[in-house]
Amino acid sequence: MASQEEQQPGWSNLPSDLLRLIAQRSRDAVTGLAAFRSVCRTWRAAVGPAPRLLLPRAGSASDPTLVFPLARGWSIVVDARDASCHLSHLATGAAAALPKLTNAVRDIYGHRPDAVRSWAFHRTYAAFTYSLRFAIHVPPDDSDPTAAAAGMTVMMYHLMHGRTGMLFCRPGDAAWTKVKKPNPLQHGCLRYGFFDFVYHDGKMFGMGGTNGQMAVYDAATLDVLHVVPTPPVPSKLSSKMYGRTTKMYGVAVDLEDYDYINLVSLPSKLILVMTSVKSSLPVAFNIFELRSTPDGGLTWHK
Amino acid sequence: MEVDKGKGEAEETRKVAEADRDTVTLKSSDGKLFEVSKEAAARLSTVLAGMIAGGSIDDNGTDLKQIGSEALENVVDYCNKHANSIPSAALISSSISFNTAPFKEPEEWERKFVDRLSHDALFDLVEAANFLGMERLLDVTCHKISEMMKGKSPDQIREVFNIKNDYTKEELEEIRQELAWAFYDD
Repeated sequence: MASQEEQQPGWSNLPSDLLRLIAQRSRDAVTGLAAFRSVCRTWRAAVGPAPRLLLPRAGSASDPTLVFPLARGWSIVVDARDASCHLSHLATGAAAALPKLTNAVRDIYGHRPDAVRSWAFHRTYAAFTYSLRFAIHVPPDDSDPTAAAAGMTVMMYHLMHGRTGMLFCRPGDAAWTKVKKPNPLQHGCLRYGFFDFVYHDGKMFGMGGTNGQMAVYDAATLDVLHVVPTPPVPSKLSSKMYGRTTKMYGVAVDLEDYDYINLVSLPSKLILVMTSVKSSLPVAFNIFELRSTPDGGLTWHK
Repeated sequence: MEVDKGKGEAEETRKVAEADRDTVTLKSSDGKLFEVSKEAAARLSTVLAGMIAGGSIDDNGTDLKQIGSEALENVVDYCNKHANSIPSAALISSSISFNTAPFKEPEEWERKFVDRLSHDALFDLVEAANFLGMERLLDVTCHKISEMMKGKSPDQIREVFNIKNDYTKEELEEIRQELAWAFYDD
């Protein structure tokens, strides 16, 4: 090779389209391009600045919007002044209107329209909306965000819905639809709030109670199809949605170790990721897959 | 594999009518001649395909002034190995829609092919593949380079590639904060 290249080749001087190719290959699931862009200026210039991590943000008097980052670049933005909300795709600026949450709240507390304000925990809408939790289902082909928005299903649950159940809507709906909890007499105990909920393959799933049972709804008819038994683990489940359980029956219980639950909808299956935490550090992951049983039910399989 | 043809041989092949030849002769920046299967060259390199179709192939050796003999030897070697060892349909389709098709993992022989290269040779080969529009080879070489970075901190990557850290102290501190969660304990 030519003699001026005898030293080291100029890895930092590769054309930027080549650097981008290399960068894309070096991307890893946890750190992304963080290391790559930190090597030198040319490398950083080739891949652009670091993306900002989008964190949930609570409303304040000066900026009463709340942002709930969800899947695949979509967020739900709630205006705490009037509980109006919309879907927003930050990267492309696509947006889709959703029904106002006020209606949803009135649906639940319809017999007591002022009930929201009467809750000691939630004196304002801002405080109320802070306990909202959302999940969305985005159609697999989301290359066109505006078209994708039309096919989405948005699910919402609020801590205070308690035994009422969760809500869902699709962009363009006039109001949120209520999904009732399974009848305890018919399906056994699933009385308390949901830990987590998710949409998968035409069904909606809500895991909850104090025992980790999971209700399965047909997303079209809202019928309860199944109640999936508790996954086969020692019962110390905690909620990732509302923080760990530190109070039981009003008594502070500082749990040293407990398990967080995450429902994850993959294209081909629904899985449950359980993160075991000990002294505030994750120590183990367990993954369960939802499978059919011979008698037509569903069960968690490790 | 015989890739470096002598002058005499190249002159002999020149006598054969161009249309009948099933190889093309390429000339490196330092004047060395290499012969490569016309079919493989056209299939693997968009630039060579264009030159062959456009009749701008020189029987005396098509000048590739940007490519040194070591890199060109690797390019030709790759083309010949490819012609011999791969059913090509899948690769062709992956190289056409380069930006959208998922990267197909390197074959065992492709892995070996890039593993034996020095850093310098790999660098030159990436540039040559880029220049010649050889998307599969570009894929394979870029994959190799990215593997050399996997799991490494920025400091370690700079060391591997002998890259000068050109950030200022202030910028480094900023980067350190950006990366604290991933690479540093504190």
